[in-house]
Amino acid sequence: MPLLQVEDLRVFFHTYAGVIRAVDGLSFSLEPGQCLGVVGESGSGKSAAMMALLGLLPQPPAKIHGGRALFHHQDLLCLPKRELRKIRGNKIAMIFQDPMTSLNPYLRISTQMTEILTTHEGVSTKNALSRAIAALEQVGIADASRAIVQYPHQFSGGMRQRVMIAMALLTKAEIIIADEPTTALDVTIQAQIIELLRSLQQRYGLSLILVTHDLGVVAGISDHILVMYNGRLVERGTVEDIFYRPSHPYTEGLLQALPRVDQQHQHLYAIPGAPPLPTAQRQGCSFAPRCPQVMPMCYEGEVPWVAINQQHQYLCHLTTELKEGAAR
Amino acid sequence: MTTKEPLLRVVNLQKFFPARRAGFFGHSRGTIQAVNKVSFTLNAGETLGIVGESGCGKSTLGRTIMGLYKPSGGKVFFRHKDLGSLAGAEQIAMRRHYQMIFQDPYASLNPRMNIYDIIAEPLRTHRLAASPFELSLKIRELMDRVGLPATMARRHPHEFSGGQRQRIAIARAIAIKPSLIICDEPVSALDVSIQAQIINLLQELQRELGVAYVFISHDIGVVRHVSHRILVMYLGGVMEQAATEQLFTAAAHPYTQALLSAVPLPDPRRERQRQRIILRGDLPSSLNPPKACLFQSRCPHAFEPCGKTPPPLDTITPGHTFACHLPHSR
Repeated sequence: MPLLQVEDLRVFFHTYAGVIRAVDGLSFSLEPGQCLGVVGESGSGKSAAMMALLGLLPQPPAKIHGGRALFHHQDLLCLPKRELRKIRGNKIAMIFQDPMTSLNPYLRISTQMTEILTTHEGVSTKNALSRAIAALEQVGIADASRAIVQYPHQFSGGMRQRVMIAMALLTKAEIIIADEPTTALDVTIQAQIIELLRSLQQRYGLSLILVTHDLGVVAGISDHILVMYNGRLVERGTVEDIFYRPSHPYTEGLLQALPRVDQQHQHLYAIPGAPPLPTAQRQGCSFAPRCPQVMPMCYEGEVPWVAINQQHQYLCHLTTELKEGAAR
Repeated sequence: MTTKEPLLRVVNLQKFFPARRAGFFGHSRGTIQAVNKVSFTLNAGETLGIVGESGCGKSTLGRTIMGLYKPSGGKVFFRHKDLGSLAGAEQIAMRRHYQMIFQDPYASLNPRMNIYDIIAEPLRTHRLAASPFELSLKIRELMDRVGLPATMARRHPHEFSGGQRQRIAIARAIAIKPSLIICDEPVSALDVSIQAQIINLLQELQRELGVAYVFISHDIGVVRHVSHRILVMYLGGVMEQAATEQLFTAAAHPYTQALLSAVPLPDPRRERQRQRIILRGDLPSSLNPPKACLFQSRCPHAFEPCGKTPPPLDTITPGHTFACHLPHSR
């Protein structure tokens, strides 16, 4: 049974400029101990979906127009705030791009880390402190007992991100949702953090949702991948399906547009045009204006899902037979 | 190897910033060595990539070459002329030949000017259009060249997307037909699909106009794709310099090796099998960089001499140099 099952999630923003369909019918499931990568460009709705699951979007302007998110037989989208607060930051932890926004600059790391344990679990201050130090050691912070009495600004970006991960370990989170956790970091630090997440995932059987725009980051750590475009899920599959057998024209284009360190004299395919305006009326496939294989029917009606197998599906009018025909 | 003078020759360029405590009477806490003794040459029509992590001085290097900062030491020769020795009309005339593109085009485009005036400004400054009619023709041509519809000429920067704004910045830079453009993280703020459009545009322009680029980026994939030669910087100093393929096949400096191995590959199977060199710790403060070898505090191979004497610049093959105490035949 999946640990988290999301069905047909719809999150719209009601703004003066019009309705923005930030997430439009997202379904996925997360199995225990797995890593799910969610990729897409800015404005694709990947972050909005995760924020909505945890009730972190201000309502209004956001409004959840439907869907279910089952976690231990509870629908996260219907839970009262008090109940959700017990899960959020506790059973489901979240790590953001900029850890400075999630850490209070006025409080010592020790205060912020022990707070969770003393208020939620009724652990004594002394006990909580030693558990916090142990958690910092697990995430590879050297001299943790000295570091813990420091303030967030005394930490580097990479160390702050480690603190966030340590907090997730402290509450024995079952799911960590990491939203662009390494985007603000240099590549050598990024490598450290990804390596840390991978090893913790293996050691503690954590489930991880990794939201990123960087296809390289998800390649090494994810089991399954969701590709989002303009609020919609356009392709899902195992990591190998997505990287070696991409089927949606957008996924194909995205992979060919990536300048790679492991290839020389590569031709970069540039997807023409730009993503549609978020307030634009949605009819047919929203990738149609940029799609190299566009057909007249793409501009109208509902786009069907094409199932290659149980795990690998994409949202497109181009069936596998049509594709083979075109290749020939 | 040709013996002709390269387009751009940078010799021992240095840029130090005083670090002061806050307040009017703040006293100096020392100097930040943002760029320390950087030397390289760039031939006409080629691209030199400059890579390094944040704080390594790559942007400061670009700005110092442009003359936006006064160098603390060293020289920049452009078309045989020492840029530091030029003044007045001669300096302005020389500036026609090099331009710059920044990471955030929104910050580098005047929000109150329309696109027409933004692109016209360098042409007017250098008096390169004889009449208003000629000016309008040139602007139409430039907009067309960078892929902007001419009907958008009267719009203002806020009406454009990030990719389009970068096109405007490129149109402005190529307006006066420079022979060198310094690109400081030109595609870092863009999504992958738009990034590829801008990279392709820059490469087409290079082929058509023969313009040389100094291409500054933290994204090693992008730098590999566009550069003929690459310079790797760390804490203000040059660690290694080589032709692109040489650097990717035979990186000699431990920092370059770690940097290349840290870049994630969009290839799951290889990514899982890969042996990464994970560097210890964080970048040291540039206020108090390690003595002798800058990289010693994070180097997996650091040994005795690294803390004593600055590493010599070792040449492996002509054009491939690295600064390390280790012999390159490791």
